Amino acid sequence: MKFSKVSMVVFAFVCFWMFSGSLYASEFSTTDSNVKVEVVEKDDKNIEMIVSEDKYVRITQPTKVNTSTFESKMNIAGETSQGTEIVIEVYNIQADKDDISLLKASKVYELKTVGITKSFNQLIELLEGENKVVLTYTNEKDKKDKEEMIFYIIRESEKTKESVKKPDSVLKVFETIKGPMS
Amino acid sequence: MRRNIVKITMLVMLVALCMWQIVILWLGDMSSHNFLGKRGAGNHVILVQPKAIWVNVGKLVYKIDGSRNEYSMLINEISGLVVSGVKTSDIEKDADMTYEDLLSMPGILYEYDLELGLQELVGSDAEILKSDIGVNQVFIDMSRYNDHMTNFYLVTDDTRIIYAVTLYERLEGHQKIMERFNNPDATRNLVGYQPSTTSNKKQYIRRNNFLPLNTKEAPIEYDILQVSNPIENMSREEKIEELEQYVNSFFANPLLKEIDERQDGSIIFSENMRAIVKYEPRGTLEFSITSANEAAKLTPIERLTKVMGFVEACTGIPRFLKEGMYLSEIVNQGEEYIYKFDYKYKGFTMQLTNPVKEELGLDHILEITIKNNQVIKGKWSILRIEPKESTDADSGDGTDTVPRGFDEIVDTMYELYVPDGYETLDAVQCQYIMSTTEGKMNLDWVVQYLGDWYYP
Repeated sequence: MKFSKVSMVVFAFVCFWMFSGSLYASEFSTTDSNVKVEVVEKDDKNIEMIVSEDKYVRITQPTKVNTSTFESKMNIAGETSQGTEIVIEVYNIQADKDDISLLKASKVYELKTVGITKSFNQLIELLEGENKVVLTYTNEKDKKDKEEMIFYIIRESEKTKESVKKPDSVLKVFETIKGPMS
Repeated sequence: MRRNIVKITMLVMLVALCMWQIVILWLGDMSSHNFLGKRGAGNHVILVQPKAIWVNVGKLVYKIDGSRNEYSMLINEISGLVVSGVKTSDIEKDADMTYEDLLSMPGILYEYDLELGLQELVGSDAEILKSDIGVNQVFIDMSRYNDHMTNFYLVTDDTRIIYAVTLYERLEGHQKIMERFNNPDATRNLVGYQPSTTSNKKQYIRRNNFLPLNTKEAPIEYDILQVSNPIENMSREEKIEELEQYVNSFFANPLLKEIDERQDGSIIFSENMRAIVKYEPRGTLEFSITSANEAAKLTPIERLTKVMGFVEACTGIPRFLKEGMYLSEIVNQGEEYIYKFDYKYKGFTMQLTNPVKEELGLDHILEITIKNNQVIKGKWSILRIEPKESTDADSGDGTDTVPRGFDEIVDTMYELYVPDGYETLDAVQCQYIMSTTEGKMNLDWVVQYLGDWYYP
């Protein structure tokens, strides 16, 4: 009896030790993402892009709802109607882990109003861990008032990078970012 | 007797140790110092500096704006590999590979301002490298990097034809650069670039341009430059003395040269009408040699070697210009070939505006003409270009930031100059703009549209 109690406690400890990272990450659930990935044909190529629920904004970079990267910066590129005002907020779980209930955006980017080429770019800074990106768009003419797009960019830690480093280091790092190469 | 031998042996050992220590302290190690002049794999020299070397680490591209040493190390490594291992028969057209595919791979890209032959690119006259392929960019694929293989691609000017080459050797210097740029700490303060070919501006810009991501939060910071002609502030004697240092190398006997000072401020130095060197107060030096009678047809690499040899030896070309210049264009006019060079400062290229071009009588910062087997003419700016001193109240600490991003620039162009939206822009770049021959020079956007340059 005593043995089984001890083994249960040990098992619980092992589980906690092994999966603490996942438990912690799950606090910042990616289920609140409200975007879809669509495949569009451009120049005889199928291109993936993230689109808002109303299809008003299309993000051409990144192209996944959950993107992994080792880089500390990423260019968010997209397309929408002329005259749209865009604000991008980035929330980082690791930076705000002391008080998850009072999450503050680690960075807020107010973009220039979208111009005649109907496209926008914004370089955002990524902290290690999960970065929740909230893109808010407003266009009075098209009656869009502070609509939101939510997607995630996970900046992998340096430890992870080291673990995939050798052999063929660059390829492995790159594949982690972009998916296997053909 | 025996004691003396021990003493002498110890003394010799100490002297040898001292010598070894001096060598290590001065040179670091001896691996890079070739005292005997012997070369490793194949003979090659760096003849052409690329306009830029780019490192693609993932979603962003970074420019190596580092020292000429870093450029030389990389170019030497890849040139050495090509010279020792490539035959033109190894170069195959890769029909499946597009330029966009290349820019989606991790690697190092060498960007030149003109198409060059393989021999000129690697600085070797080896017959085996003779080919008709004109290369504008070289991409070293670092995605399949391992101990025994290097894939690289040669890209033509219009980026439509891509040649692939595989060599069974590694490029350690390139790998080290990749590793450095893969470290987020190393790239945190660097300007990230977005290739226009893989961006949402693709349909608006005809050729690929590496667009710097300039934002309010992380603006591009640059040194404000100052352009001046220090010679014009000198007394007559000082001016002649200074100019003699520039021009004496053109004459067989400098002591016998004639000096003719004109009313417009120009000064002509000549020697029996064989060589004439002219200084113009607007800030140029021009020479011509009148004895180019030796009829000889040089190959492109021989011509380039002659021109670069002249530039290196010419004391009239300011040192800072030699260090920052890169070959931009070669124009053929009958028997004459004009080699045109542009200038870059800390990785950012410099452009002369049309009024400055007219004032200087130059299209590019340095132009050298070769005919038969002799350099016969040349003209260049001797204006001093240096970081502006921070004493001025308006320049703050001598640096400034670029105020706008490329989205705004492309939008402005399409609003003001491309009303129908059918034409694409030729180029969108962030460059130093020389709009005066005396004063400040800032970094800002320039756009080429239908062959003309715009400063939106």
